[in-house]
Amino acid sequence: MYTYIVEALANTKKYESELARVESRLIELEISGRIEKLTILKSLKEIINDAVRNHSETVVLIGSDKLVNDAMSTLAEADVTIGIIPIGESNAIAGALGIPNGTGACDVLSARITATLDLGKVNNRYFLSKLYVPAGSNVTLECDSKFQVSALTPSTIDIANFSEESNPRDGHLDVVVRPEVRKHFFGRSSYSRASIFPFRKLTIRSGSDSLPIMSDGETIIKTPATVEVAPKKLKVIVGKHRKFV
Amino acid sequence: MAMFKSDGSTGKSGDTVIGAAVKVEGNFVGEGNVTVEGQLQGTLKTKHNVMVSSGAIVKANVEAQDVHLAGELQGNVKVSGKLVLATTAKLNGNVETASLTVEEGATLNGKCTMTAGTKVEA
Repeated sequence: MYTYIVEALANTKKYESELARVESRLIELEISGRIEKLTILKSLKEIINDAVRNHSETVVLIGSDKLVNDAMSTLAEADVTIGIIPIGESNAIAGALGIPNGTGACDVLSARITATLDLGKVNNRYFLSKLYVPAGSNVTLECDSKFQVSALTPSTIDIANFSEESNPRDGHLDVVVRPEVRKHFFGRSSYSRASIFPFRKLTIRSGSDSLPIMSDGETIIKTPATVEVAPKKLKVIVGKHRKFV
Repeated sequence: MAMFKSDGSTGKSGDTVIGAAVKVEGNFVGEGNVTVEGQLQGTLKTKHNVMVSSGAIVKANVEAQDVHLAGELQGNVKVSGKLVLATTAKLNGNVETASLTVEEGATLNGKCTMTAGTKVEA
């Protein structure tokens, strides 16, 4: 049985016709199911837990990356397969999974190619794609309790499970340290190459200053924090043109 | 030496890049190729290849398959494949390798032992 969860944003006038086309295509493909639309009165966690209680084998998220990120912590602990139907503009996660926007995603769902992916975990919150720490001084990273990385200049930090540098099936995450761009006169900028370290467990410290750790533009925790990989945690339906093996 | 892409990027999952703007201290065990452009102190071990760029400073014992050295290295080097000392390389330490190439201008201070291919345990 399928449960479809529609993000509040996708449930607006702007996407009304696209959502209707998706619903028709799901009926044609004979994979329609219970449709839950997110509102202020219905929390995402509650809907997912209800779906699990009702023996839904597949939970499909209809919306943007924000919905996928918000659902991850609850879905990671549930024994369900996850599908995504991207609607709206911010859909990098679906793109990397090889899932096209709108009705094309229904065909991907119907083909049902699944992959088991790693997730990242920061404190008790899971993430699928990446975390971001803005530039700060005195940033140190302790990797796998074996070695310590110190940024010599103010640098931004990306912690990626799923990006150009990272494969979500390799059993580790990657931390990317990017030195801040220095701007000179006449508009010239100097760049220094980013550093990349694969790791399983990482502690980020930033001296006496606390830096925000952000996901999808929102601060979810502050430094110091520990980030670790949760290997093979999520079963997800992917497209043929996914960006990983 | 075609161990790495011509643009210096490694581009493969599991590879490590220690950029010029970071310093690494401790026992580093890599699961892929390792490129050092910054500073490393401690030990460095990988079953794959290590490239130390010009300007990089490594104070560590290094064990790897192939090593291409263009920067400074203080420590012993154990290589199961090829060791290449580029023209800007400065190596102070003992070397154990199956194959050695020393370009004109490179500095090597230490004992050199040629082996029939030492297996690296990483």
